[in-house]
Amino acid sequence: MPNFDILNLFQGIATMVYGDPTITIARIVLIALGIAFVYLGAKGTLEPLIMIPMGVGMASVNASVLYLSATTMGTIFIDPMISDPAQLMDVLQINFLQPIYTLTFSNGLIACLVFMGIGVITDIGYILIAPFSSMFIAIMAELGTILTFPIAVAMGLTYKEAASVAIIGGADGPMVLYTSLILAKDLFVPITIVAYLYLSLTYGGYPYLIKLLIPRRLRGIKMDLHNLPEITRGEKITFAIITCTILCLLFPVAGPLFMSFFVGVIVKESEVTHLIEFIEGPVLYGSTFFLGLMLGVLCEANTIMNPKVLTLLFLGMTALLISGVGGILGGYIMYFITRGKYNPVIGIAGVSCVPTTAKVAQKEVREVNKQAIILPFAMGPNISGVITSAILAGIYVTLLR
Amino acid sequence: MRKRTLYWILGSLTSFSGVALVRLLAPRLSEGSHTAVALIGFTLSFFGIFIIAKAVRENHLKTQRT
Repeated sequence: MPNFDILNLFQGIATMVYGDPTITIARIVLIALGIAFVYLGAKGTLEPLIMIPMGVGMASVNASVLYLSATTMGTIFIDPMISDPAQLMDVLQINFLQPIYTLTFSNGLIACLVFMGIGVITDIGYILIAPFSSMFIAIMAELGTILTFPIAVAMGLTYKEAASVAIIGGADGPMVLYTSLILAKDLFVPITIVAYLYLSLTYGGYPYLIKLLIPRRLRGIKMDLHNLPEITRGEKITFAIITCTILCLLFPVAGPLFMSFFVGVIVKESEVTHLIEFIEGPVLYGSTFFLGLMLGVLCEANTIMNPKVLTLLFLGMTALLISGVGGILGGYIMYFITRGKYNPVIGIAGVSCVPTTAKVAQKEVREVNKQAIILPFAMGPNISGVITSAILAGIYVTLLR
Repeated sequence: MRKRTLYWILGSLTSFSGVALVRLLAPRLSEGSHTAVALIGFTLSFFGIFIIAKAVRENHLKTQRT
């Protein structure tokens, strides 16, 4: 074996240390971060459905850099920056995840598939149980989506980038993905990763916000469950199709999102078992899995090393924090309007991370008062929040595209 | 029953009038009135949806009471 070099045998190690030391350090950090995501996802600290595939993707892609030719290095996972159709045709036959990226990510299809899944697990009747409080709290919980925009512009982001990062305040992963793909394609990878990272942390962070802003006495308020109307399937379907049509007419650019969400809602209410099982199983979990895996694979050091990442980390946290505060403020206003009969903790459910924030609200209330059930009231703002987030995404995209 | 249908029709008509203001009328107007008409249109659209939702709830509550 003449001229045997051990580094040729283990190319990943050779390529790791070759070139810019900053990139090498970034790769090592991202591999460690990927392993941490897998560990925290498996442990349940972070959302496992997203974080496990994302962590595996992140660690693998940064460890798999190889010489593609004598002078160029890269991976055979994905090339997100390619735009020339001829090159794309070549790359589609080489990079194994490129077909999924090109055909489901860059056109926003994956966000729509996740939205279909969310629709099919959503009962729109909760909005009709308490329409005023649901819609009002959902609007209040968009405070972060609105206020983060001027903050981001003041911090040096362009209008389009600012709008993309502000949508994190809506706490809807697919919505962030959809908006950033349309408005800020260069930054969509870090923005979406920041969004999903923070969204998986809301479960741990919002309980502290609730405890900080709402005194124990108010957290234990019991809601009246006796006067809950029973909404019929026909009414839910009619309401869904009318709302979907009106929203599509108003915001055609967010039409795919509205259609995906409401088709899920209507399929659920139509009780078409085969379609329900298909959408809530293979479609929802399949698209969530590939979403996580693709986000992880997109975290390649060269792609993610952007000077704006730190700004995005700050703004993402700010958006979710302001939205949480806005939601609780909405809860307080409802508390005063109803003269103390409304539990202000429900406000946090307006941040539309379905159904996480509604569950967080119920958990916090049960800690104080075991008799208090607020979930039917919390689901209304939660579902309205999905619609208001899509409306705001539609407004931003319409105004700035 | 007739009253219930009336709310659906009234709510839908209000919403679609709002859509007409936003999509048909507002683009033909000058910049200042364009924004005002569009805002009125958006408000009407959401108010129509709210009318339907509120009426569904009230009708059910009334039925449960009687």
